[in-house]
Amino acid sequence: MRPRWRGSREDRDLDDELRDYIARRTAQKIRDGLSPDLARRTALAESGGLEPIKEAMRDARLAHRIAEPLRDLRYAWRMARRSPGFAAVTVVSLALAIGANITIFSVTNALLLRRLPVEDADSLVMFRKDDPTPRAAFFRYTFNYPEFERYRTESSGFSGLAAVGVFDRAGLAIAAPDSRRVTPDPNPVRVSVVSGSYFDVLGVTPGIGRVFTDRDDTIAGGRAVAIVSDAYWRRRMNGTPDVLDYALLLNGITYAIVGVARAGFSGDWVGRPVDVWVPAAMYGRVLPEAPGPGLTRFGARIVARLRPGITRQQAEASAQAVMRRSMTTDFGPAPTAEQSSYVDRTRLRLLPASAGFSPDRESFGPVLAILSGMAALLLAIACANVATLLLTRAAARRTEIALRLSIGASRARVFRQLLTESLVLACLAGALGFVLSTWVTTAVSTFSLGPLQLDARAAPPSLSLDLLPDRHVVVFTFGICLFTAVVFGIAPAVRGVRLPLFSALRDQRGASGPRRLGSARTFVVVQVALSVLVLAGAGLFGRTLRNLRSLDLGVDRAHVLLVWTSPGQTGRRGADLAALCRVVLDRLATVPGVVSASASNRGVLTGNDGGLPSEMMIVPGHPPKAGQFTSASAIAPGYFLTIGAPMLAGRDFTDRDTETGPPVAIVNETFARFFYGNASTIGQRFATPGGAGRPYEIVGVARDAQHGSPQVHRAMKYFPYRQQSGLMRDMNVVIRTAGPPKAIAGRIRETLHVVEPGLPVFRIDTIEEQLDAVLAQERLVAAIATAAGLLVTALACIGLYGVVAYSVSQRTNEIGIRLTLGARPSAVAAMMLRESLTLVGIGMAIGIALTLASARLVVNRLFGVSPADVPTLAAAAVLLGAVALAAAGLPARRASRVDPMTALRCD
Amino acid sequence: VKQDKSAATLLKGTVDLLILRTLELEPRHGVGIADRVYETTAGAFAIGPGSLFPALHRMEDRGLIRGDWRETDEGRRAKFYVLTAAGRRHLDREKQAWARTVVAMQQVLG
Repeated sequence: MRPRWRGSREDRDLDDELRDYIARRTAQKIRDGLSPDLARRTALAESGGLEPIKEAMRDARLAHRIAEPLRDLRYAWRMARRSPGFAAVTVVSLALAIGANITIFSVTNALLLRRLPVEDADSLVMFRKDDPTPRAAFFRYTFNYPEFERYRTESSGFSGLAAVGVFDRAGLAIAAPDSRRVTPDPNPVRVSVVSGSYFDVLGVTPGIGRVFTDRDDTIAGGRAVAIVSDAYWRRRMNGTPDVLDYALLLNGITYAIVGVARAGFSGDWVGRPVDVWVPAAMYGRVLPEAPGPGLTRFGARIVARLRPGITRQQAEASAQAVMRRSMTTDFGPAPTAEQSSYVDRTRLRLLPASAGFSPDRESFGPVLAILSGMAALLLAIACANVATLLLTRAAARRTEIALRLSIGASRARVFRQLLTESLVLACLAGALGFVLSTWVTTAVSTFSLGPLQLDARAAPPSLSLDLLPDRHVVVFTFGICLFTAVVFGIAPAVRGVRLPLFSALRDQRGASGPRRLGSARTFVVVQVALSVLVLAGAGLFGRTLRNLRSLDLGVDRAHVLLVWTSPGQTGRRGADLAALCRVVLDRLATVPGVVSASASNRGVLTGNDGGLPSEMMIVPGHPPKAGQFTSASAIAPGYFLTIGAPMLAGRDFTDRDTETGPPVAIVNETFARFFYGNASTIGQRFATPGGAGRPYEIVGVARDAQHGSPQVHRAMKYFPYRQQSGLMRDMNVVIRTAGPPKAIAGRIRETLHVVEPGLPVFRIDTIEEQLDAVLAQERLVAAIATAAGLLVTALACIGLYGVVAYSVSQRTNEIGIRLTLGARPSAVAAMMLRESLTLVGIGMAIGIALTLASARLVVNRLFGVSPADVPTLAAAAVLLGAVALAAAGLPARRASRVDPMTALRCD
Repeated sequence: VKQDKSAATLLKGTVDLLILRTLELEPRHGVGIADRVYETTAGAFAIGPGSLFPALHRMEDRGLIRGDWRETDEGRRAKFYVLTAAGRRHLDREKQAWARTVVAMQQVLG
């Protein structure tokens, strides 16, 4: 439809024209001898009044403008109904592609674009510290609470700073007002520990009651108060109006509920909705297993609001200075060269926090980029496919179009009509795609992004994104429908109206060489080229996954069961904690089917590849050596035997390696080779930075086993858990089983419950399951790439079949002549086939070049396979070639069976 | 686009045809067209502004004619209509159709 302003301009134009008309008529009558006044009145009277004319013309114009698109729509709908097969193929293939795009956009939107429901989100920033130590993105955002207080008191540029930590806690209970009814919450509850300033800084108001103030966490010993989220209040407390009379019980402390946060606010961490907030002063009570006094070990994120008029850069400079001072203080008056260099290489950054906190953005961002790219390719291929089909159909419809043009329809009108048809197809596809994506997003909304992390400070594994379609998604959907319609509809529409009128009407079948389908052929080439790209991607990601799955993990996959638990959450510390661990392991060893049981505090295949730069390690007799990262783990005796990673030299830890014994350590091969080369490692000593200074004596060397990701080798050092009694707060029990590991999982759970009912058991799984979890992103990419590969192959099949079949039907005449003149049927089939296979060949060549050029973009997501992997490319080409042969072969064979006489007569 | 053969359409078509034919000779403004048709048909067809302007604007929309504001001899501005190439083709077709209609009608009516 034309823009509205045209109406008023046309109205003015018409006014001028009519005024001119009356003026001329008046002038004529004056010349005829009438007085000017009478002349004008007569002219007006004869015209029948100007207003009725204007009115009638406006009405006609309006009706025309509404009726025309409606007529186009009705016509388009009729066309779709007339060839339901064509419409179905078009709509379904586009719907799959559009649905994929909407799904991936929904995830991107929820993770990256959606703004926090807080006051003036644009002036919020979050702190991030980039130091040379490799660590999971999450840990770059955590600061010691004392460090937070330094920023709060010493830096300028902020109108407020808040500290926040999020922890999943087992064993929370809800106490009704009379305190007689106490309902335990069977699930882990997400507790957020926040400074009293948190709600004020974010500008979040209470829905009921009040939010925290600074008083709540400045009172000595803390104030046992809690705020619950609107969702938790509705879910667990049935939205009771007297919520302020309720209390929460956690680790023996009773927290009075003082408020319910405003509906829609569930913390600033995207994808980790918070259930309960408590003041920072309660940190030690919420995490009794946390070592150290008071708040010193509270690893908190810092969210701050910029003072009005202060830029992010100014505030950053001020905070950076505070950080430098704080680090220099930590390293003492005479820092070593390494320490100074460490300070110099550490940067404090303030990042915009308007879209909330999400470390998943960094780990999941590249995956989303790959998936978006794949979805875009899929859409491009579907568009090329539909354009091909439309072009072949437009060729078949040229008689109809020519007829419409000849009876006076303007080309613009026919063009609009053809585009409307595309738009109808695209909108049908968009609606179907939207429904499809709603199903898929429901399925992926709690998608697990990685393995369980034992460290209570680390990110819990599953991402619960709110994927309900919002304004962005709706706009995106409409946009993509329009875009799609234009992309696949414009070429056929242009071609449709460009046809030479007379020849089209005269020869309805006529001479039709390969040139007739010119642009359809181009689209076949484009489609094949992009399909090669998608198939090669599927192959590369599939092989990456297979390579990662079949890596030597250094552990026995078939006979090991992993039990993820947290003895620290029972409230025990020090020697009591070690004693509990020992009792647990002793009792598990007696369960039938268990060969041996041991434990580490780190776990196997956690995906966490953090470590200390090797130059920070102190190895007597050796200068600091850079180039590796070292991780540490506390383990129980028998660990290496249990996981199936044999000791290569020296001895394992025993029950005699206790608190009172000399400090000992076991290192892995990588550690031994890196620091000592070929020299004997047993008996060597090393010390860790910041340690008490007592060096550890190496008593054994173990085979490398993967604790983080399957593909990352770290230099490991292991310590006896009783010499590091604080470390077994979180415990990954490893059990060597006689039979299939999963068979005794139930018995293990029961036994643990008998030993200590308060011991939370998060998960019991096998090495293979853990591997699947740590490879979640790779699996997702491979699965989607495979699905996309299958889809584009099917589309290529449809597109090619359509073109060849049409070409055969158009050339029946010519084929008839050839056959009459003595051409062998097989030669005719070969001729038809050759033409289509040439297109496929060109497409493949372009596709392979494209793949070679673009696979470099994903090279760091590949493992054990080069982006220019010949077998993968060959497989993609062979698969497409075979499909093309089948799709083109069918109609080509039909061509060879044409009866010459019928063919010649059919004009 | 369906060709409606009712009497009203025929009449509307007639006005269009008369206008196009008038413009085939030279560009004219609204009054010029009406006066010219009136003179050449010896007063048989007096096209009032109520049917003249809708017809002009409809044909301008369809791309058969184009309107331009120009200065006239006496120095006034007026909207002149010019036949486009599409209009010329349309007129040719319509003339032939009209001729066939006339022959057919005469054969029936004697």
